[in-house]
Amino acid sequence: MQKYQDPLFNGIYRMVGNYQDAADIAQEVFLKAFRSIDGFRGSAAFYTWLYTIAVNTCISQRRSAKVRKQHVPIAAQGMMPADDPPASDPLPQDVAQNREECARVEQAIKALPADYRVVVVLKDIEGRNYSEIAAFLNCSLGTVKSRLFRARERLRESLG
Amino acid sequence: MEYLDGELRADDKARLELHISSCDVCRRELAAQQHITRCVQTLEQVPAPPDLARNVAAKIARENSQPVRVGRWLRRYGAMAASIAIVFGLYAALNKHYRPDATAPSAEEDLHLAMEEEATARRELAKADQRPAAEAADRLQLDEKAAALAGVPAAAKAKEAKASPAGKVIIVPDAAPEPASDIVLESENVQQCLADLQAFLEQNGYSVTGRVVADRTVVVAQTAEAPPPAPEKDPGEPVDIIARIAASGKFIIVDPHIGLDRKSVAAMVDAAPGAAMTPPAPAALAQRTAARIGLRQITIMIVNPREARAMQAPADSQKHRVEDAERKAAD
Repeated sequence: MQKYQDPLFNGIYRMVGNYQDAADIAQEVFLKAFRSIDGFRGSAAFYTWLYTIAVNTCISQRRSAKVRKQHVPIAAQGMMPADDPPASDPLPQDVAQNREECARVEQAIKALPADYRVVVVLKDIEGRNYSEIAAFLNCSLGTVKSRLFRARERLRESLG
Repeated sequence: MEYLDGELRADDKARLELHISSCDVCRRELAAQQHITRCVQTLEQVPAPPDLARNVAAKIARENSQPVRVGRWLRRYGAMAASIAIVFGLYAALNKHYRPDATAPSAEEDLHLAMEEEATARRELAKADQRPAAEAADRLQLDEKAAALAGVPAAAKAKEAKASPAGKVIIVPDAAPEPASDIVLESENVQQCLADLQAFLEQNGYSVTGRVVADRTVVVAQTAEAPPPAPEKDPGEPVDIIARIAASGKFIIVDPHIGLDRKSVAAMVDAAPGAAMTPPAPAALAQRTAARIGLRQITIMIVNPREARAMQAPADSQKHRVEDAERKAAD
């Protein structure tokens, strides 16, 4: 688990764009993997198998979040969600600018529609090829390409 | 975009590069696209929360500590329980001249040793990246169960599984005191394997009743050692597989992590007086444990969990399935 938790969590965090949600989903993914380890047949790399569970969990979480959104109690609406990871130590000046650039990119990714965000994460962060992404998302190659193209166009607009 | 993502065919790529070298507009477009991609690719990795592993472990522990309702469990998973490769009497049977070691460790020590064995097996499971392809793994499952049945240590098991061609079942108890105690079963299907097993045991003075109750991986064989005294209570004709297990009185469950958590298996063992449980263990440990509890009756079950439900079905439909299974095997 130690070996996989950081890259897996990073992928989940980029897909859902919320630190706390990502932590919950990562926990769920490892529990699901633990319960169904017998179902792992070695036909794929272990990380790919784990990542497939993660992608599916993110997608189903997004669906249920859509439903939940319609029933948010008034009292809860004023609460700020914990979107970002806990702040680390102050950065040196020369790194700060780079961090600022990263923050802009992060915001631009978060602003993408979820379907677009997932393909960007799978392609540019996870380094998956089109076929693998199509398999992960159970969609056609054409869909992957068009979503990726539109996602990048939006990112380009956001980042000016 | 496909060029950028390295998904373009070599000839198309060469053509595009030729064009880019002479077109400012496309060159700028490509540079802009590359910049976006690079920005995303160079984002820092956000590490997992430090308590993630602890939370997962706590949740698993909580789930495992929930009380097991045996009755419900037996109803729902009883047949699956049969998927556990059972019993160790095979050792007592195969190694008839075995004499218990006077300095043998206690049952608790045995269990502790066995748990260590299980931990090792689980660590090997974690290295699952190295596993063979699904189909081969599926076929080898039988080999592994057979090896567990024979108490072959995990490392030897793995070696055996790699060496064995698909569909071949080999049971070779290690540390056997005499060469005559070795049993090697080679067959293309389970029916043949059962026939071989039956022949071997009968040659060695055991009576065997066996039946194939589902496709491919189900064998149920019961043996009673011929010369020693008969069990106090005749188990009679059990109504179902669980009753059969319970009626056997004394048995050891091997390989409790086939589709079941340890707690559930422990509950099942508790329900059967005189039973003991151990994870896959070396032959010597199996021998000691089998000798200590005076195991005389052997129950061997290798069950495909997917077919397990069939075992609880009414006899007619079950018979139907057996016929189907036999037809498939024949094909």
